[in-house]
Amino acid sequence: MSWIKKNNVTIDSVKSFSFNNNYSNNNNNNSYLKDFDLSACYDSFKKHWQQISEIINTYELNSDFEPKHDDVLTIVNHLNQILTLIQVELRSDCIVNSCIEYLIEENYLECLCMWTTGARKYNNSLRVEQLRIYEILLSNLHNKLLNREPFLKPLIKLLNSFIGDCLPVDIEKKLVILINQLCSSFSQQTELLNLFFPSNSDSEQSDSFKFDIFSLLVQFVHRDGMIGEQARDSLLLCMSLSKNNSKVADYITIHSNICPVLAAGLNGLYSLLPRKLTIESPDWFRFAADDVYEMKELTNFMNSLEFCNVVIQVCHPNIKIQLFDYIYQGFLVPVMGPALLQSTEDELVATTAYFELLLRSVTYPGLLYAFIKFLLKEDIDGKRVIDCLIQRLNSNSKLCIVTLALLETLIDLNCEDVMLELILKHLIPCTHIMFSQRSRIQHVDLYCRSAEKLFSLMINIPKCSDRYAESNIIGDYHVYLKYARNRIHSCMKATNSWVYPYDGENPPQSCCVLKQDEFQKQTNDNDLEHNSLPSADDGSSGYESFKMFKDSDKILGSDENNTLDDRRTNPPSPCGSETALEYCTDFPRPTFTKPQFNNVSPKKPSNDVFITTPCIGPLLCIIFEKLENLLSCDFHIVLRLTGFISRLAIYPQPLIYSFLLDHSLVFQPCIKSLFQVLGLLKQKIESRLNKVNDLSGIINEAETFLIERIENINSKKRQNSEFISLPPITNNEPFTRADNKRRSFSVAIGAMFRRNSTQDRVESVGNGCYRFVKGDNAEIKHAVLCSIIINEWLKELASISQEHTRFKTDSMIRLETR
Amino acid sequence: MTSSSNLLKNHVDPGIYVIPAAKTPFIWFGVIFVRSGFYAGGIFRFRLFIPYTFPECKECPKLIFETPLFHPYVNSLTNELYLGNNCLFTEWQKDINHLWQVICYMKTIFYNIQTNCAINQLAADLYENNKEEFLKSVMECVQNSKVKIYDKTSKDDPNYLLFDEYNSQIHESYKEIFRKEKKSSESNSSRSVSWIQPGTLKALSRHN
Repeated sequence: MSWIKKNNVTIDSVKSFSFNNNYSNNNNNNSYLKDFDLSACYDSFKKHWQQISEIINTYELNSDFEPKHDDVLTIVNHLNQILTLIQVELRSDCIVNSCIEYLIEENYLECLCMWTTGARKYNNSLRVEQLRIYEILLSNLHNKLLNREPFLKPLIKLLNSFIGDCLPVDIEKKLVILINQLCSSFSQQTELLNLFFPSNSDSEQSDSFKFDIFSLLVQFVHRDGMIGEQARDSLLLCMSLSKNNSKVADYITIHSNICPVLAAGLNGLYSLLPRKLTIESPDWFRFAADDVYEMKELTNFMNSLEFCNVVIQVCHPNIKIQLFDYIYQGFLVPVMGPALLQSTEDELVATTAYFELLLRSVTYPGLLYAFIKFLLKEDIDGKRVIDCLIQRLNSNSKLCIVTLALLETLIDLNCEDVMLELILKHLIPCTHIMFSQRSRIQHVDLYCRSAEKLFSLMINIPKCSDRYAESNIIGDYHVYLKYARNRIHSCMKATNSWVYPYDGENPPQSCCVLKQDEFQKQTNDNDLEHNSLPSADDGSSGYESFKMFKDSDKILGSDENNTLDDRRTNPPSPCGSETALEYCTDFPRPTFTKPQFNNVSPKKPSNDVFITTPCIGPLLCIIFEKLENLLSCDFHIVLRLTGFISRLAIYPQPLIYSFLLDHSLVFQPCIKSLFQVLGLLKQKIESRLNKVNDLSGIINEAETFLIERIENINSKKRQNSEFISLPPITNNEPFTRADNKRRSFSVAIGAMFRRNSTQDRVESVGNGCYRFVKGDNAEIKHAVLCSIIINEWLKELASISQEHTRFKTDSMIRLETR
Repeated sequence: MTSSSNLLKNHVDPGIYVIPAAKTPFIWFGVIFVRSGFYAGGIFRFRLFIPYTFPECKECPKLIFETPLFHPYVNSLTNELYLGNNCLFTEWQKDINHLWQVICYMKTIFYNIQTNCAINQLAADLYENNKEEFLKSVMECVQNSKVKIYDKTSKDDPNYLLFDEYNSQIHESYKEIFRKEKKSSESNSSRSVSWIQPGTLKALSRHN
C-alpha cells in the first residue's frame, strides 16, 4: 500500500487521460508516456498481482466460500491499477510488453478466474473487471494472445460462466463488446475459430467447450439499443463465418436455437403491432419510412425482419434452409396466414399494409423466396393466399387500395414466378387472341399507332382555363417519355435472364394445356356452387367454340344489362383459379431460336387435349372490370388502379405488351382489350358530362383540387427530402432490390401523377377530395375528376407504348446488322 | 417521324453512326467505318434525306455520300446510293420498308460488290475486268475519305458528326470510362428473380 500512496500522483495523472477511450496518437501524450519509467510500471504491476494472489491464497479453494467484502474491494482496486498499467505499457513504444508477458506466464488470469467462480455474491464485480482486462488486451493486441492457453482458457471459462446467468446491464454491455471483438478477430483470422472448438478427442468429455459465445449472443438478438445492435453485428459475423466453416454451421444448426429464436421473435414482435391503423389521410395506401419510424413497434419488427433477411444472405446453406423453414412454418403460415384471411375489414387493411411492407423489405437473395412461396403456394382453408388477395380487389374501400398497393409491389419485383402465376400463365395459350392473329404477338408498332389510338381515346373536357395546361398536372410529354424509358429499361434489365421470353413462341402456346376432363370437373364444381353457370358442352368444346364465347360473354359481363353485383355472384370461371391448368413439363430449355417446338404445331391441337376458352386470368379480369366501372370507384382507387395497369404495361415481354398496348391485335369477342374498355369509358363519361350545361365551374374546381393536391404533396416532399428521394423525374427509382440497406419506403411510382402522396398519416392531403366530391353534383364532379386523371393516364400509356417501340426497334437493328 | 428516329439510335452498330440533324428530322447525318474488303479503312460520311411526307410517301429516301465513292451502285456525279437494285426500294411502302433497311443495305455494298444494273458502269466494268484499276480508284476514295473526315466546314448543324485526331490527354480518360462501363455492364448482367425450373412452367419449381 505504501507504494501506491507514494505513486499516487503519477498514477492519477495517467488515469486522467487513459480512461478516455480515444486512443488518439497525440504526440504530446506519447512523449509524456515515453517519460514513464516502464520498469517502474513493471515493478508496480508485479506488486499488484502479488498482493492479489496473497489475498486469494488466504482462502481455501473449495466450492463454497464467502470472501470478505474488504478483500474483494481491494482486489478490484488492484485490478483497476493493473488495467491502468497495462494501458500505459500498451501505449509506449516498447516492443516487449513485459507486464503482459508476466501476466500470461504466471497464469494469473486463470487463478483469478477460478477464485471468481467461487466468489458467489461478489462474482459480478470481479467478472466485470476481468472483462475490461480482456477487452483492453484484445483491442490492442488483436489476435496475438488468443492462441496462448493462459489467456484463452480463462477467457473461455469466464465467458462460459455467463451462460444462463441473469446479468446486470453493465456486464451485458461489456460482455457483448468483448464477444464482438472476438467475432471480428475470427473473421480476420478464421483459424482462430478452431481454438473455440474442441478437438475431436475431448469433444465427448467437455460438452460445454463449444462455440458458446454464439449461444451467449442469442439472448440479445431482440434487444433494443447498443447491446442489441452489437449482438446482432456479432451474430452476423458468425453467420458469415459459417458459410465456409461447416463446424460453425453445424453448431448453429444443431446446438444453437438461433433459428427458432429469430422466427419466434418475429411472431412476438408482430403480435405487438396495432391491429388497426388510424388512417387519417385518404391518400394513404402503404407505409412510408416516416410511418415506420413513428411506430416504435413497427420499427422493432422491421429491424428484426431485416436482420433475418441479411442472415439468410450471408449464412451457410444449412442454416439458410433451417431459418427459411422456421420463418415459413413458424411465422408466415401460422401468423401471417390467418391474419391475412381474417374477416374484420379494418384489421385486414392493417395486415395487408403490414404484409406489403414486409414484401417490399425482403430481398432476393434473402427472404423473398419464402414470401413468394407463401403467397403463391400456401393453401389456407383451401384457398391460395394470392387468390384471396385478388378477390379483395372487388371491394371499393381502403381494403381495395391497400390490396392494390400490395399487388403493385408484387409485380414490381420483376419476379418471373409471380408474373407467371398472376398474368403470363393465362396469356401463354393465347386463347384471348383471335386464332388468325396469334402469330402477331411480336408485332412491332413501328409507327406508334397504339400511342395515336390512345391519344384519340382522351376524354373531351371543355377547356375553360389555361391554368390546367400551365400547371404541372400535365407533365410535358417528353417527361412522360423519359420516365417510361427509364422504367422499361430497368424492367428489361431485371427480367433479361428470365427463363422464357414470353413472346408467343417460347414457351409455346400449346404448352399450357387445359385438360378436358379437369375443365369439365371445374365447370361442374362451379355449377354446383353457382347455378347460373351454363355447363360446357363436350362436343363443342373445340377450338374457338362459339358456345363458349357466349357463355363467357355472360360470365364476363359484356351483357349490358348485367349489373356489377350480378357479376360478382357469377365469378368469371374460365378465368378462375389455377386448378385445371396442367403443364407439359417435357419441353427443353428455352432458347430464342426455339427449334424443337416447331414439330408440335400449336396451330393444330387435337380437340381432345385442348380447350381454348378465352381466358386472361382472374387478376386481369378483375382489374379490367374495375377499370370499366371506374366511375363508381373511389378517387384514390382510380389513382392506384391506373398506376397498377401502367406498371404492368412496363413489362417488355411481348405477351404482356401485346395484350395491353397493341391496339392492332384482334381479341376474341368475349375478351375486351384495354382500348375497348377505355373507349367504353370515354363514351360513358362524355355522355354523362354532356348532360350538364355548364361544366366550367366544376372543371375549375377539379383542377384547383388536383393542383393543390400536387402542390401539397410536393411541399411535403421537400420537407421530407431525407426520405423522399424522387424528384418528378429521375433515373433512380427509389427501390433497388439489390440494396441491402434500409430503403426509403417512399414514392416509387407514378411520379407525374403524384399518385402517391407523402403518406403522412397525421395531416391529410386528400380531404379536399371529399369536400370536392361530396356535395352537390357529386357524380358529375367525380366524372370530371376521373376524366382529368384518365387523360393524364392515357399520356402515360402512350409514352410507354412509344418507348417500347423504341427499345424493340433498337434490338431489331442490333440483330439485323450483326 | 419520332418512331423512325427511334429506330436508329446514334449508335446503330459498331461501325455505323447515325444521328438526325438538329434542325430537321428529315436529314440524318451518318458515318460508316468500313472494316474489311476493298474499301477497308474507309470512313465515309453520308446523309440520309427523308421525304417530308414520310412515312406516307411513295418516294424513297436518298442516301448521299459526302465524299466521292467509286462503286457500281453509287452515282459518280451525285454520290447518291442507288436503291433500285433488284427492285429493293422502288416505291416506299411504310409497312414494309424501313429506314434502317436503307442503312443496312448501304453497309452491304461495301462488302458484297455486285455489278448488275450498275449505275456507275465504269466501276462495274473495272470490277469485272480489271480489279487492279478498280482497287486503285477505290483506294483513292478511301484515302480521300480519311482526310476529309476531320473536315469541320459543314458545321451548320449542331448534330453534324465531327472528328478530331486522337489526343491521349483528351481522349484517354473517355476510353477509360468506356472500359469501365463495359466491365461494369458485364459484371452487372443482373440476376433476375426466377425460381422456375427451365422446361417447366411451374412457379417455384427450382429451389432457392
